[in-house]
Amino acid sequence: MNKTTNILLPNAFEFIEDQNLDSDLITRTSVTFWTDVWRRLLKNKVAMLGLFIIVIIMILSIFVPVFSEYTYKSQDLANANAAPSALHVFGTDNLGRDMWVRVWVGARVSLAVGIFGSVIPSLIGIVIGGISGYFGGKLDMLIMRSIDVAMCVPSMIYIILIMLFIGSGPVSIIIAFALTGWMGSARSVRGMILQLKEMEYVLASKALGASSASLIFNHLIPNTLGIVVVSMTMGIPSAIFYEAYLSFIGLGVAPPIPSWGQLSNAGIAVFRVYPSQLMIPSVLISLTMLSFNLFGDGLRDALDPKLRS
Amino acid sequence: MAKRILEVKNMHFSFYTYAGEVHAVNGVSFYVDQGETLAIVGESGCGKSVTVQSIMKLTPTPPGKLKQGKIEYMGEDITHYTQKEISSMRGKEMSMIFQDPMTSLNPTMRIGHQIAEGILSHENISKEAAKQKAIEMLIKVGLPNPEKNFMSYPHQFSGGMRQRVMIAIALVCNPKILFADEPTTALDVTVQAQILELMNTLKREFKASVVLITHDLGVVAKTAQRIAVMYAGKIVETGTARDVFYDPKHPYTWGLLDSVPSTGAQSSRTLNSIEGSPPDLFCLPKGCSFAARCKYCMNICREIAPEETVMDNGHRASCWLLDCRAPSVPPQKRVSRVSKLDIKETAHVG
Amino acid sequence: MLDENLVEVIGLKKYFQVGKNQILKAVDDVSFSIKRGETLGMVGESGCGKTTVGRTILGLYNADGGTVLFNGIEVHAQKGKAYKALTKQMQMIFQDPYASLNPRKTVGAIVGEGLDIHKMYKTKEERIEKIYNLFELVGLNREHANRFPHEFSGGQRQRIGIARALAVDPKFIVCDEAISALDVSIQAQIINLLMRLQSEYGFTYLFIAHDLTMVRHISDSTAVMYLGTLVEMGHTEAIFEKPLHPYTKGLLAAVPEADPDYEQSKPSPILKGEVPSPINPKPGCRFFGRCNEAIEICSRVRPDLIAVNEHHSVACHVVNQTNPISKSEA
Repeated sequence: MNKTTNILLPNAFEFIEDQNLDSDLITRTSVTFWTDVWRRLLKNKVAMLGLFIIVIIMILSIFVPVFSEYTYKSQDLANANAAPSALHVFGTDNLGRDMWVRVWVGARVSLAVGIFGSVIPSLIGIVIGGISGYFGGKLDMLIMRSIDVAMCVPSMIYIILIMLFIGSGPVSIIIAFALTGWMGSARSVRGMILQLKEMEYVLASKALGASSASLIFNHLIPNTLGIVVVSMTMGIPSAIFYEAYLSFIGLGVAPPIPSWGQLSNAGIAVFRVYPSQLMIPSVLISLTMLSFNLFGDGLRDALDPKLRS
Repeated sequence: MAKRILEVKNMHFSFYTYAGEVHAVNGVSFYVDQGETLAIVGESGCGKSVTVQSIMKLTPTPPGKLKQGKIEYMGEDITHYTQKEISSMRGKEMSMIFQDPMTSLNPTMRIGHQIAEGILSHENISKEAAKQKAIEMLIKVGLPNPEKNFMSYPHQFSGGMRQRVMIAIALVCNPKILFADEPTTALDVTVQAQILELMNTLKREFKASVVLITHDLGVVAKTAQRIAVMYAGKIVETGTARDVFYDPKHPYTWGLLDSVPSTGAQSSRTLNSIEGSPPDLFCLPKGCSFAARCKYCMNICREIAPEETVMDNGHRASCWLLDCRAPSVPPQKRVSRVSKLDIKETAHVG
Repeated sequence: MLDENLVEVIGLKKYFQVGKNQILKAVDDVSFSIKRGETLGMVGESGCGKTTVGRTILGLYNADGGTVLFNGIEVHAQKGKAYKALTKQMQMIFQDPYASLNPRKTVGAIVGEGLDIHKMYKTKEERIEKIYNLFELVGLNREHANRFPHEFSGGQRQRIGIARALAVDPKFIVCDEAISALDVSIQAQIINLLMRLQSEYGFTYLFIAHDLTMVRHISDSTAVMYLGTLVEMGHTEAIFEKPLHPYTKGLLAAVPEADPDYEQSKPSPILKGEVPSPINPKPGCRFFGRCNEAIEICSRVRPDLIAVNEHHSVACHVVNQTNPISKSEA
């Protein structure tokens, strides 16, 4: 108490005359939605580990094929089926092709298929689900019932049929995924739109005379993005897995272009003699899927509005 | 003197979020005596709910943390009770009702079973006896046709009926203290009047004490014997209902009372509102938290937080205006409508 | 051409289909008018249809019967561009300051949305200047424009909602429970702001609320709704000083006042029970089940809103049968 009386100014008990009310002052620093999410994410160590592994895999897949002295199809028959060594980091396959380069070229294919195979159908789903949810009524009924019917059949069957029809290759896989994968995301986006449509800020915009397109694209879709981004991230590992599976059964990427599934397929033939040829691509598939799942989980937690204060 | 049921001394409670420490409660002390209703009044975010929830250890820790303070229940220090110890007290010694009766009732469980569940977990009696007791309780809270209501589900009930069920669950084990967190805020006025009436009646019947958390001064006036006014995690003024309503000492209490338009003719067109917004609990200002919104802010208010001044009858307020060195401001006394009538009609009543 | 009434609502009906054969009559044959520059307060408990009335007047909902005339223009007959032009004159302030602002937009963009929609500026600088002026008009700092809604307190958000409504220079504003979600001290701020704006710009308000003391303070006239119908309407003082309808009386008696001596000596609440479901209502007076003054005819015939005097009308068989003036004074 002594301390306080010492520092008392002589005018301590005078009213502050021109008190400009600064109680409306906002003392917290301004943070946009996505910076806020990013900050949360940074605190989540497991999710950051997932992201770290994803980034490492991406960097390797971009640069290893560029800077390596081998290409994915150059053969060194004298050195076929070599074990991992300084010369060939992951060894070579039965045609003497460098596995280190083939694995990272394969990573390009697998990641590309994974990312585009998840993002493109989600985008289609957003648009269709958005329209269905916003306009409602008969259109909504028609779209939703068609989805119900179409989803009765497992998507793998559609994908196999589409692949048989348009031929194999990474682009075909993405097309097949795009044609089948949008339905799930359309459904969940529609559900969210139905909820958001009743929000007062949407009504406010309507009362201001905003057009339907502006309502959908300015107010509704941006507010579904958080959840859509999570489902996209979680969709990537399953797309990678589907690609691996298709390539494994010989419907996906055709040789000599490698993909992880295709490398596993080749590896299984020599698994008993040269286990590394199967182990390496399959471990990478698992590691990538795990990383995307961990990252997606963290992203979901970071976006969860319940945790926001 | 009435028996002291609960006493809270200098409680500090914070939440540690990723963005920093939220100082939700900053040195709160109060007590509750047997059979009385204490109303904790304040605006949203002033820490009134956190105070009560941390007594019952209902706030998740972490992120929350009781930094300092002592909680005494019936003279026993319960500050550091474990969840297990405190949960054996919940319902039997102290219970709580919330604002939204829909989310506090289990939607998949019959009403009667939800009441009986509480009895069975605290008392060693047969299921049949518990059912009988639950039905009696339904009658007490004014739900007609208890046999039928016993087998109903929460969604079949209206908001007012659900709040009655919540009260039944809360009181069935005869707790000594009932915390009511905005119990009527979600209800319509006419239903609110009924629920407040019910709470008053049952409080007397069960000889329980009530801690009522609310922002509605009308509700406080109707039910409370004593009042604690909270602002930014502190109790700024406390005293009997009559002291706080008719002879308030803290400028924040003045502002709150002035914000309600006076009944009677539309005397002044402009309401005496409190300008500005409450402070951000992330970074509280130094000095008095209310200084930035106070009409009587002095230089010292910006620098040093005021100590509590004790007046007669246990009326306390924390404000520099009560310091002997402060300039005097006109007292903000208010008169009851009843006493106005008394003066007019019966002159002999003093 | 210039009519005394800015808004005229005649026999408005709005039904919602909730089940197969279940119709929720949210608004059932409601008529009233609002004079230019005045405030009509609309009170009633939840589910009485007051919010639906506000939204239907603005054309956010289609009407199932009756007409709404705004400045002589039939609101529900306007489509496309004509309706858009109408939205510039009629605006709304919402209840929930948290749900009524898009969390992904800066408050500047939120306030500017109306300016964009109605192309109310020539240059970018003019747009920014207009937004800043609106911020200052509602007592916020212009520096706040680049922040996001979650950074503001409830009262500040509500002021942003007001600025958004004012951006298009409206004549008529529906305040739909605009203060219900706010703290007491903040409610007074918003009421003061609304009244200041009214006196400066001559706005006409429809003030929907369940808080009777605030309605009494701000409104020139008051309408009391119960289950989709108007039960009593008139000058605010008449309604509050001499309520005639049993529901109005019960409602007023139920409001607790900040006066412990008065409150704790007050008799038990008059009104028992709760508002019944508005789905498939029975014929007769909607208040029949809860009314303790009801007579035989109340269960069969729905009472019309009949003028008791120039400034006061009531829809009640009991009141309209006896001499209303002497009864209220008794």
